[in-house]
Amino acid sequence: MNKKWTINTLLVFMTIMGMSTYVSAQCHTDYNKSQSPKIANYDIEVDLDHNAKSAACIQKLKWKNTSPDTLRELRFYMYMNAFKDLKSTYLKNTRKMFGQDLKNRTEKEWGRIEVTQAIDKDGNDLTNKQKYIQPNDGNELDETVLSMPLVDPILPGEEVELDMTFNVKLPRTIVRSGYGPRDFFLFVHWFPQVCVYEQNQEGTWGWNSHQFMQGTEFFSDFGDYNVTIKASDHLVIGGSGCKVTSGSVPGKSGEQVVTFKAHDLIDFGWVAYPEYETYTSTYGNTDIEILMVPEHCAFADRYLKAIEQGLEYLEKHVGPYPYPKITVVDPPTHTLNSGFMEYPMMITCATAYGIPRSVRSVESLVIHEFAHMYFMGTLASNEKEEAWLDEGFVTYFEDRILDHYHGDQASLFDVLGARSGNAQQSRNEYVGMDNPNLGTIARPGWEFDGGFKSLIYAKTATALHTMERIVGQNMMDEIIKTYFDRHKFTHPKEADLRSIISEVLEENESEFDADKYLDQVLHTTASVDFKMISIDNATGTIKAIRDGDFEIDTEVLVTFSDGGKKTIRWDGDQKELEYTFKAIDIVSAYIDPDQKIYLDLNLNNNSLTLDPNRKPLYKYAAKIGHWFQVVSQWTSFMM
Amino acid sequence: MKHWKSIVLIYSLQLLLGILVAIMAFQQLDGSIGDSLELDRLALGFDRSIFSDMINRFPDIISNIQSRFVVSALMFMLLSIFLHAGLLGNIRKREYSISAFLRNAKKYFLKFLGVASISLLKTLFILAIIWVPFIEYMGNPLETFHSEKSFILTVISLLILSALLIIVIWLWSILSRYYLIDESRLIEAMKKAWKGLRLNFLRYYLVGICLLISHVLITWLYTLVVDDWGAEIWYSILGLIVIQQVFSIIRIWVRVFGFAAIDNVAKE
Repeated sequence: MNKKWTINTLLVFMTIMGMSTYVSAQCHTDYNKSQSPKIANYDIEVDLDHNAKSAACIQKLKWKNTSPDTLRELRFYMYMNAFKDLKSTYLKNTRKMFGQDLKNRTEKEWGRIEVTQAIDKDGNDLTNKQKYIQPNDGNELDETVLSMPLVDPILPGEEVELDMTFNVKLPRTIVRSGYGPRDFFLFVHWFPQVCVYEQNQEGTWGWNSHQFMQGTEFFSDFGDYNVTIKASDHLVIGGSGCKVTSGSVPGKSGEQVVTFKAHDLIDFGWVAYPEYETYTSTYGNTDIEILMVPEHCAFADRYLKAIEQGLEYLEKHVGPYPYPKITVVDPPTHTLNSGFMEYPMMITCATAYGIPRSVRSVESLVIHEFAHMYFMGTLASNEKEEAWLDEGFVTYFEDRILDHYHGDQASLFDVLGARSGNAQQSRNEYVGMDNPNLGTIARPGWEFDGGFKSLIYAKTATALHTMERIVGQNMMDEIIKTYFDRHKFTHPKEADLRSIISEVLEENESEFDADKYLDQVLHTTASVDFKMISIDNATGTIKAIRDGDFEIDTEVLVTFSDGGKKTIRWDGDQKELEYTFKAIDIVSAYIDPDQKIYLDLNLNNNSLTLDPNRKPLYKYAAKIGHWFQVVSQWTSFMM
Repeated sequence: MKHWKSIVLIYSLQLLLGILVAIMAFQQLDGSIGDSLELDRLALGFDRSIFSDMINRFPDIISNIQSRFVVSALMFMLLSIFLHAGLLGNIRKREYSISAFLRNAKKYFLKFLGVASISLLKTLFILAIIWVPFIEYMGNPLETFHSEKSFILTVISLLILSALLIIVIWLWSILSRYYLIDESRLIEAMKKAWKGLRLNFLRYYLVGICLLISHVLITWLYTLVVDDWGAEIWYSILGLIVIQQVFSIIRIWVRVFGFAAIDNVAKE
């Protein structure tokens, strides 16, 4: 039977029945169980005006007070107001971002969000009571946190309902949210989102409602989302959650309605672009949807494979993927700054036409963002205050996954004999810093003045690799699995992680002093560089020092001319090591021969040998000499 | 292969400069990681951490090697005018000895310097005509072009166009040199060369294209063959050097072959 004819007949039938042309749900049906406390729940109806780059929205909010306090206000993040002008705290000291000149923007290129009406379930109009607050810097021109005083207080355990209308205008993309040429729209952090009412480190309850500042990302409560988007039918729409229905609007040509449902998420993002080509697949219980711009379609299988590898590895080493679907958004290159980001059940990546398969920056990014579904999406730590808890773990797993599937020496790139593993790249990003002692890791994002990525992502990942090498991968996995299992769908903090680490190490009778280690990694700027200084066969003595204040136990492997070996323990609190042997035929001495201390700033100076193997030096000298011959051949052509 | 002596002479001079660069590179590498056991790891293949750590701690290594590399390459560029004078003189006059090579090199060096300078100016002119308007038009490429695919394909097209036009200038330059050997006036030789090039354009151009493609293929083949050759035993080092030098000689031989082909077309 002709397939096209069948579909047309079906469409006509459904239209006659007075329905729009709905398609079946994408996600599997048993995804309705409650996994989270469902504190902040949103039903949002969106009417997108793609010409005006704006949307008129209706939002029904159900928010549960899980604190012991009686609350007289709600606070909302209004992130889009960070892109309202150059007076917001996010942009006030910025004139250029990602090569864009922000100073000369036209009015229509800026974004904003405003709540036009807010009514509680008793009919009280709260609209005129709302006011912007600036808990961080007092910048009155910053409108990224909204306070909504309530008429009726919310008692402990009580749920409040609020009917809101709001308008959101997207900026031309500065970073993440925004619009780009040819009707590209990324709606992320786009609705009035309730801040988190939680206990701080001292145990006091209060609003965690930081203004939107550079160096910070997001923090919000779990809940359910029903989002209905009405938009022009030339747009291909994707988003967090499951696309439950999509089809034309009865009586309105050129329009479509798409409905998403999502459970137990901390946020909801969506994307629209007319040129998207959709690739779908299923891996285990997870549907994978990939939205590719046409010129990147050759990368669809690479995206897909990376997601499959991420799923397989994380399910084995962390825990089951808690959602039925993942949507991978490939932003057009003209709006590349909307990429590189994670949202629950949806990630934005980035690629460029022509990147060869031997350069796995594409896979690395996909896996990184996908790992955020665990560290951020499920273990919803505070990305503003403790960014290392998600970015550090995600980079660590990005390294592990890439290195596992592609080899630890060439997982990131392998071009013309030059290659790098992903963990090697992460380590080098830290040890290659101009000043590795620039600052501590465990501090809020807004306190960073440089070195954010090198410390939060790379140093944390390298520290986790070091810990893994010391305690072993099995114990490391046990720690992470326990952490995930116990704290999923909550907002874990450093103390929660550390308590799990102590517990697992104790159960396994490990001697590793994790508290001392993590204190140094997270709360000091100390670094470590072991150096083998000398081998003196006149006295049979070896000398070594530790540069940097990072104290960590290690060992030294000494080899003798008869092939004999001896291992010496070097306690972390000793800055120098001097050891004299009875034998005077030492050939080499090697500090940390298994390279467990991956944080070491220079691994090359860990060893000293009196019988060096210079063959590779000849090899690379010959290679450099030959490349000279090649280059001189080419350059002499015109002479 | 009648010009094998010229090939050996050119190769030897190039090798000498290559050895100077290699010795310098060896000294720099040896000075930074020469006593480390990490060399055993490096013997198994490229290890990014070893190189990264070395460059992080000894950042001057790269600039030192780079400056020696660039200075030597510039020296060879100048030297190659001299070598071209000897080689083209031998080819044109059907001479094959080293002494004839050196005599021709000495005789035509200054004249060839003039041709090379004019050819360089022409090349720069052509490149400016192609690339300056493109860069002006391009602005922010991601906004100007529909996608990076169209941008990348445009750049590749312009690169190919540049190469195709540079081949014309190169052929003109080589023919001018041949005519300069026949007579002494530069402008007259260049006019004759242009006329000759136009008359037999397709045949000359075929030689130019073949020469370019063969050089690209040889470089590509070398990277395929060598990639990251291990250094666990001395024979592997020796094998690597032999293969490298075979490729170098082939490259020079192909060029000499191309020059002789141009001369043959010119003489017909």
